[in-house]
Amino acid sequence: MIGSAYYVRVLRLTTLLLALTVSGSALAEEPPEPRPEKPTSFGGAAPEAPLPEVKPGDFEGLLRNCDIERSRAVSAKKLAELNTTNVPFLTAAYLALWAILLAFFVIVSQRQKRLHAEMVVLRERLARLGDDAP
Amino acid sequence: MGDVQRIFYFHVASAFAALIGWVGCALASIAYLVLAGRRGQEALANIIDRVAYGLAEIGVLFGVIVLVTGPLWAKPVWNTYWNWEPRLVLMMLTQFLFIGYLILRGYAKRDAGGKKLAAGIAIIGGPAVYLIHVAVDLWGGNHPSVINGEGIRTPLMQAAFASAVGAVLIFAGYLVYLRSKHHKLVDDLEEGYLELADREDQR
Repeated sequence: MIGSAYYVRVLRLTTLLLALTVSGSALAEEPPEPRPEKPTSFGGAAPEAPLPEVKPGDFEGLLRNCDIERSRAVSAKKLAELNTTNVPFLTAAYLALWAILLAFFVIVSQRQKRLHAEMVVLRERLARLGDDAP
Repeated sequence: MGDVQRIFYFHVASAFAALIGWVGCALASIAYLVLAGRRGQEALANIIDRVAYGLAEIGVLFGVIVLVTGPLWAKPVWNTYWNWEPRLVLMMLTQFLFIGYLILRGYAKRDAGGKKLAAGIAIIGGPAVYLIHVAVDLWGGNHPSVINGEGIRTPLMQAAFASAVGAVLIFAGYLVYLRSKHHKLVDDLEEGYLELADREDQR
């Protein structure tokens, strides 16, 4: 028979397992090197090719390299901005996860308590009838 | 994508738990329908039915998590909370199908006819789960083909993903076990009431 102690144990296990999940996902960083070979759906960026060599006096080449560097800096800034705007969604998702699990446990434990109370009453009635039986 | 990619770890892990729960429920329902008609196998059939019920409940629980965290991921990444791509629509329909199963199974209690009808609904859910899995390959959509194609390449992200999936599946399995025990208690209670009625009739 399941008692409320079971649900306390489940809550502990939930906390442990989800803490493992959450910490795992929190630790998972994309390392700067090596980069994936081509863009992926999970935030992987194309590798940054080394800048083309510029011969002394090749001002056009130098300007091209400046443009490449500037576009990379813009990308880095965009990523930083993206993180600022996206974090509320991440927070909302974590909150939703815990809220759903908590609601589930509250509903289930209330039902469980009601069932136990009903079972106790039923046992008493059965015992009383058993004693009175001819 | 930035930090919001961290939703992926429990979103996909919950999707695995939901889909496994639903497939398990469909398979257990087939087993129930086979065994329910055989003499001397009623007890085993009832155990399988309770497990199917628990699997469906946990499938729906994790399905809700998937359908809530998915849009929260999609908004910053796809710039929309929801689009009507086949995988999303099928996921939502299967979720409704199993909610229907839970309602029917809840009303059926110990009634064999109701249980069989609920099992029939669960069996329809099995192929739906397969279609959810292959929907992106068959009909396209924004979801990537992570498992068959290219997805996570960084070892640390792969380890985090594996630990997330493992943790959620162990947790889901334990919940199924607890829910099955709960349904056993409900059945015992029903049996107790029948016994009480019998004793009262004898007096």
